[in-house]
Amino acid sequence: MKVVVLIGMEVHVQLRTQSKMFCRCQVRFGAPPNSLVCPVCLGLPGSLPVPNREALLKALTAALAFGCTPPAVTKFDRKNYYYPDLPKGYQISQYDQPLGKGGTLEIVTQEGVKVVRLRRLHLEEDTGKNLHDEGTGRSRVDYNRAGTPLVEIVSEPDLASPEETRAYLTALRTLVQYLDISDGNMQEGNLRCEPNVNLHIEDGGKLIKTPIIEIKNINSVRNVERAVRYEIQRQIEEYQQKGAAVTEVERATRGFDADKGTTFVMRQKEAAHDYRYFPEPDIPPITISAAWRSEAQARVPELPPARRRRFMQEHDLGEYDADVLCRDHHTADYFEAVVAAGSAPKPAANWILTEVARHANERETTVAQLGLASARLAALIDLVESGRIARTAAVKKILPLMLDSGEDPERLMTTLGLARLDDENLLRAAAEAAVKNNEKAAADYRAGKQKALSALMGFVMRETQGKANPDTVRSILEELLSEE
Amino acid sequence: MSELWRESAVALAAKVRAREVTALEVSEAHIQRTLEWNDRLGAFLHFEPEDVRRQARRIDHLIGSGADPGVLAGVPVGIKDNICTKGVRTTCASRILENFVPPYDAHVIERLREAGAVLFGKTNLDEFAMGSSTENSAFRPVRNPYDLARTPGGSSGGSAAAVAAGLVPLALGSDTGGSIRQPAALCGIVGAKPTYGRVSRFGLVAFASSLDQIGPLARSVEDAALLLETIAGHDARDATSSVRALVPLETATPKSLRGLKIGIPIEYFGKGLADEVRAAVGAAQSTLQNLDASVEQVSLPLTEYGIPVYYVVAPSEASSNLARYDGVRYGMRAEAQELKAMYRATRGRGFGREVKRRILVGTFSLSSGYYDAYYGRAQKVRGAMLRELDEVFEQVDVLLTPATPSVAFRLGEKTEDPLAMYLNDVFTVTANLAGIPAVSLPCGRSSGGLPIGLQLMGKRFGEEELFQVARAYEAASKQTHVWPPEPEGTQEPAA
Ligand SMILES: [Zn+2]
Repeated sequence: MKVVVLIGMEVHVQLRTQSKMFCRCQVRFGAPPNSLVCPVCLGLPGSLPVPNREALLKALTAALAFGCTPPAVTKFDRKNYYYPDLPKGYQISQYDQPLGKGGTLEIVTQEGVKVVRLRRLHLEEDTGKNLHDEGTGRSRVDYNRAGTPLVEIVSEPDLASPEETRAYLTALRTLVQYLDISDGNMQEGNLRCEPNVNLHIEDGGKLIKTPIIEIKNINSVRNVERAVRYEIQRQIEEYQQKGAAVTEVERATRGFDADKGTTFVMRQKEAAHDYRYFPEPDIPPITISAAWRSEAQARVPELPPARRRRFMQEHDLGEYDADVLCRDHHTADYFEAVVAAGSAPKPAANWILTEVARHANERETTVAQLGLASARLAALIDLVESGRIARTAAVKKILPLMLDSGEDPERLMTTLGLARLDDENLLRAAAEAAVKNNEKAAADYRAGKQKALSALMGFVMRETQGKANPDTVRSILEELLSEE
Repeated sequence: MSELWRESAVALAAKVRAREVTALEVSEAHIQRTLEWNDRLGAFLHFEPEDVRRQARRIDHLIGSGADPGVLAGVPVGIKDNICTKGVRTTCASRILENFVPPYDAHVIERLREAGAVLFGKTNLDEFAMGSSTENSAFRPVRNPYDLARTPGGSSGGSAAAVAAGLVPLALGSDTGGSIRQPAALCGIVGAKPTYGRVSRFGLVAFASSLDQIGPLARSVEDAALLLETIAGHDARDATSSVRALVPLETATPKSLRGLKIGIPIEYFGKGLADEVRAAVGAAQSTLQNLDASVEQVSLPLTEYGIPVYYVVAPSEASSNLARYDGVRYGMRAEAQELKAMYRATRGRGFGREVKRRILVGTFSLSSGYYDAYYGRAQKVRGAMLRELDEVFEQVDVLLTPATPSVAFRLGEKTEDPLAMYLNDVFTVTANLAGIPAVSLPCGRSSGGLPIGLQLMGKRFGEEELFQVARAYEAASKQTHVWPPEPEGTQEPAA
């Protein structure tokens, strides 16, 4: 049995705009229910939608950044269906002339770089939110979110594993943050994803295609990986139980249960819904002028893949390190600032991705928001690299104090007496004492056991409270032991 | 009783502005006239005399303080009840919106308030403006003031009857396939459908968004022009509203139409056109020729597709536009145990027969598998009709046609035959499909004394020329408004 996994992604990105897609209501998360509404976003009789230029521009910027082809003329269409959170009984969306067709997204996993093809990118309005009260069995609707601009990005089923699905979502979130069009926050729901998963199983010369399962209710990057992993396994097991009968259903929707880490049936045998798309008559088609295009193009900064490659070339970083640095553009900016302040790039990347990142995680913030001045970090790295302080001392003692006080690392080093001992006479005396007190180790070394030197080194380090410069100690010891 | 209800809007506004009469006196005359007539006609669904007086007093107060009260100072205007009025019920003559009170004014209502008009009341219509006789009102039908057994036409039948009978000098209607022009013709008054985009639709409850336009109904071309000038203009809240400004509609009546080319599309004069209508429109053609206009026959072969195209496009858009009436947020809600049952009960009880019929037709036309054959094809034919008209308008300036195939028909005569009812719009739908302006105006009477209307269609944004021709014809033909007979048992008021 040979299994090919096919995963496509549908991602909705809430654009960060002042006002909603078709009215002037504010876009804000967490306001009291139905406090950010007006006749337009409530769909009152007689109200009309007027497209938000900034939302169009942000969506166009995204389309260009993904390498989509924007049409000369774009238009809106109505997607008709009934649901209480949908005020007009239709959603204004885009059907056959979306803002972007084609395009790609580059993802990086431990295995390397992969280019995922995109099918389309379009602009639409968000719905309200149904709030079900299990106690009373009643539902209430909050329309604050109704009419918020959304960009929907649909990929081809090019993803082949849970790890790739996660990497795709991470890369997409990174991109929208680079473009500064969305907060990309999954908890607040301004980034939502629905992976669709199915398997092509080759078994005994037959090809079985399992139903395409769309998974809903995923609220974190970690959970997209969990959900997809579970779903792949579930489909394999289902095939093993039912055999070819699994193909009876073509598509279905399942929900993800984050507590159990499983998916459950939401709608079975979903009748192909007929949304009766037709051109939105309230909004004339919109010509995407050259001026508009260049305005959007000007908003596209250096994107993560290009930046990653530049970091690899200019700074000689490995692909994975470069990718991790570039995932958050603030972190990447910070890295560049540390390098600009005089630090060697490789140690800078290493420090940022390990020591500094650890402090950021502990304080539940990001590297860039940690408050550690890039020049200060560069100075600390320089102290370590030039051998003036032991790395351990820098990591354990100096860095935490710098974070608390913002002090200069060199001053901290001096005040705390952590500077490395490099005094020839002092170290020579300590080395002589080491040789005298460890006759066996000294004899072993002379007999050709290179490893024996570490015992002698350790003696000197202990004597100097770890401050001795190991390179100096090593050369003095070697000199002493070769003399006789 | 005061005879001020006989006056034109232009005259009333001038008198109020000149302090010859007060706005309150003007309103009072129309209130009395309405109290006397409305029960018979069913023209107004909502009419609150105290509210009318309050508005009139405010205008008088404004005048008293020396401020400019506006061009429609103290003029009562009837408002079709599918146009939103803040704080005043707007029902669309539907059970589903029976108690709906909009929290905002339509753009045209804001304009009327700024111009000092008195919002006199909400006029009856076919439910959601779907119909040609105002018999589809969920509340009561409207009757033709010239024969109470007959329809005033529709869907703006309430507005047309109210203006014709002198309940108000002006009224707003909406025209999706002829809903202003057809009732204007059957009631012997002037009705205009402006170019699509000329008047903001913000606050007009949508029937078919790509066809709907708000327009004036009045007893003279001059009055209609005054109302159109007041409501026209760009509105940022309607993305289809045009930024092209309306040239002030010439107030002087042209003595001659020399140089004007009038086209007579032969397809509008085929069989099915009543003889009396044919004769009256023929006479109108002579009148215009006597004004030195040149008249030539033109052909618009796609005209016959107007009705089929219209009855696919309009219901399709309507099926989507009316989806919002689901009982969730406003309007009627039929309680039920679960969501789908609530939708079904609310919409099942809330909508009338004709509305349901059109929702079904429209839903079908947009369905996957049928879209290309119906909605898609209809839009293509619509495009072809537009090009055909553009070509004809390279030869001629204005088109002259009958407004309706016959005079007002009897109530109930066509209610059981939707297709016969739909054919009432045969001459009017083209202007909506093409987005061009069109006016209907009285051009004579049948042997039974029923009004006959002609229609003039102009180029897109060609209202100026269209109104000039209308005014010239009106002046030369002397075919002006005639007051309806006073009902039996009442005293004919002294002239
Ligand atoms: Zn709003």
